[in-house]
Amino acid sequence: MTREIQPSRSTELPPWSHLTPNKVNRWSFSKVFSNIVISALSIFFAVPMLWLALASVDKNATFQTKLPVLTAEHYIVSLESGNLAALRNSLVISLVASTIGTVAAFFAAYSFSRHHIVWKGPILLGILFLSGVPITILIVPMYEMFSSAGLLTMFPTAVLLGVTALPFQIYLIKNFIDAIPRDLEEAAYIERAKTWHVLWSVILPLTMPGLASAALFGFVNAWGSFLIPLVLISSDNQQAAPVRLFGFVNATSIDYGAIAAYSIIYSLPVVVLYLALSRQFKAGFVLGGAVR
Amino acid sequence: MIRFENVWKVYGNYAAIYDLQLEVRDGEFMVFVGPSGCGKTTTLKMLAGLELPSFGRIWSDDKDITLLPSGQRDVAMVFQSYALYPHMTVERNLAFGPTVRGEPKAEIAERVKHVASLVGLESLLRRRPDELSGGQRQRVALGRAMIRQPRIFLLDEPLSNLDAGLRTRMRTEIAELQRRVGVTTVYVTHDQVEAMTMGHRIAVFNQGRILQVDTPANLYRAPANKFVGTFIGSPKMNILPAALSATGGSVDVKCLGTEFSVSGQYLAGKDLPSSVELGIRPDDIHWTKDAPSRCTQKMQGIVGGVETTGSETFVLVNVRGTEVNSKFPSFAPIRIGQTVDLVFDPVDLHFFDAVTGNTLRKDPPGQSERSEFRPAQPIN
Ligand SMILES: Nc1ncnc2c1ncn2[C@@H]1O[C@H](COP(=O)(O)OP(=O)(O)OP(=O)(O)O)[C@@H](O)[C@H]1O
Ligand SMILES: [Mg+2]
Repeated sequence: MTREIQPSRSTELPPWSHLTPNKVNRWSFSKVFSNIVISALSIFFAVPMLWLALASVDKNATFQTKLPVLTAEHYIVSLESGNLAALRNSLVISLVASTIGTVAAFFAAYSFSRHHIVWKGPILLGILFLSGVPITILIVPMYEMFSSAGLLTMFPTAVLLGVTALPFQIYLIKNFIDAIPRDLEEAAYIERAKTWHVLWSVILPLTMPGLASAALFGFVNAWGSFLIPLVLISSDNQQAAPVRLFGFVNATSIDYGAIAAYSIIYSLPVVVLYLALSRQFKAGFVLGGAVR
Repeated sequence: MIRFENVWKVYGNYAAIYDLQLEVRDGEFMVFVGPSGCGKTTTLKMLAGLELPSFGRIWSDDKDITLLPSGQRDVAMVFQSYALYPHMTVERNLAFGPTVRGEPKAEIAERVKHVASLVGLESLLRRRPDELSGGQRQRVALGRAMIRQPRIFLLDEPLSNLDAGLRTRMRTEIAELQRRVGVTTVYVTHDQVEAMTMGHRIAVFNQGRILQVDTPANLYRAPANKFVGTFIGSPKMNILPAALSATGGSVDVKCLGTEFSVSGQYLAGKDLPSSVELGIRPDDIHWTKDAPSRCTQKMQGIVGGVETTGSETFVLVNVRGTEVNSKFPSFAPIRIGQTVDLVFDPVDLHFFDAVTGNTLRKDPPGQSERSEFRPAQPIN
């Protein structure tokens, strides 16, 4: 028997209005428990940030977290020409390091991914091992080398910082290139494409998320580096921001307010870079539809 | 002419291609068929220069192209996996080759439009591959190869994902294009109909070897061995156990309760094995009530299954424990469990060595004329 469909008088009600929607049970012990734990942890990490924000505008900033007596003087100090120059130096150093590292890592990763290389396995293992070794253990011989070659300036240091990020970047990018089906390249080679063309218009666009991550890693790696610029850059006006930050601490006193303000300014470029690259991260799963 | 000369492809200690000998003539439409994993794609990729043969040579006319990079071979290929560029629109996928070769922009746009209409993609030019259905992707792959006039056209199952109607249309389209332009084509397929209707010649592969290369008609009429016999033709050829004994000019055959003799001129070789396998196509086994008069040999069995396609009915008959598939007229009033009489003509039989599977039969007299392939003449 077919039921007669009643012409609905109130047109606002959709035809499914009398049905109870399916719902996932919102409250369960594991959900409540995990949310409590996560909240506790996030508070733990949020307190230092709160201190940073408050201290940077507090006239009498100390190491305690308290309500501030508002002032802008710490920011004014932070933006003094010397401090600003240090930020600019850091920016240059990090951009150079990140660019050099990412470009070199891209080519290296491509070779490791696609070419036949003798002892590829052991070499890759070696690279993986190196990416875990802090470069600081080599700081003394590096200093000797740099000083005897007269390289105790900004750019050679930037290159070195780029190199320190290289092993990890190679690994990161190689994983992305590995995921690209070879057929794609072969299809291009058949069309008489040259190697550089394949790299540029097939591999590069499909590796973008990996390159973005690698570039960000290279940038942050150089941006946060303290010891290497401190040792390898001899001139004060080429010095990087972390070293400058350390300058707010001297033998007799610590300028908490200035440290906080400068730290906040110092963290901004990384945030900006992350936001700028975030579209590339999202472009992540571009391989859809390439092969069946 | 393309010639494979003793070509092997070995992965580790597994021979994917085993001592391959093959000639593809200029302007020919060559079809590769064979079960999955038999080495069709591998052969195609060696021809394209994407895989290096482990041993042997590949010749193009008198030139050794074994080591020639794929870019210099002037081939266009449809990959089995499609291999579309996922970050480019359909339009840019189609235009990739010509753009790389630096052809004039206006001409490229023109050709993209033409090819898009050929494969029915006009409305999808702005989409990216991940926004397409499987069949649409396959058409992009096909279009990307068709946009150019190469010396050799390689198509690896280019229609496998299309619906029946579209497949028929594209089949004609490709065959038509090939015949018009006269470009040497190698076409891989699993589809019997595609193989039989499109190819000038068909190469049947199995386990890395070519078992037979011949015209569709000859392959069907005179399979070189049991594998080819059962692989070509649908439904499958029946294989029946039989015993042979030669008496003078003729050979006596005992098979599923019937005994008959065939003229010795049908069978090659002096010392015939005593036990053989008979091959007979379902089309050649008839119901007594619907049989040509030349069919003289009878078998009796019980109907075990009926498959109707509409235009014809295939009936599985159990004859002394062996299932025999036979063709009945579509209106045949047949029920499972019924006893039926079947007849066949011994001339339609294929004789295969029970051990090697090779045919024991000589070319049937009067059928030996090969429908010789003549390459199409390119129009102007
Ligand atoms: N890189 C490889 N390493 C090892 N074995 C391989 C490799 N590539 C292919 N093979 C093997 O070679 C054989 C032939 O592969 P091929 O791709 O040519 O099969 P095919 O005839 O195209 O099958 P299908 O119809 O399924 O596409 C297969 O058994 C496969 O496992
Ligand atoms: Mg294949």
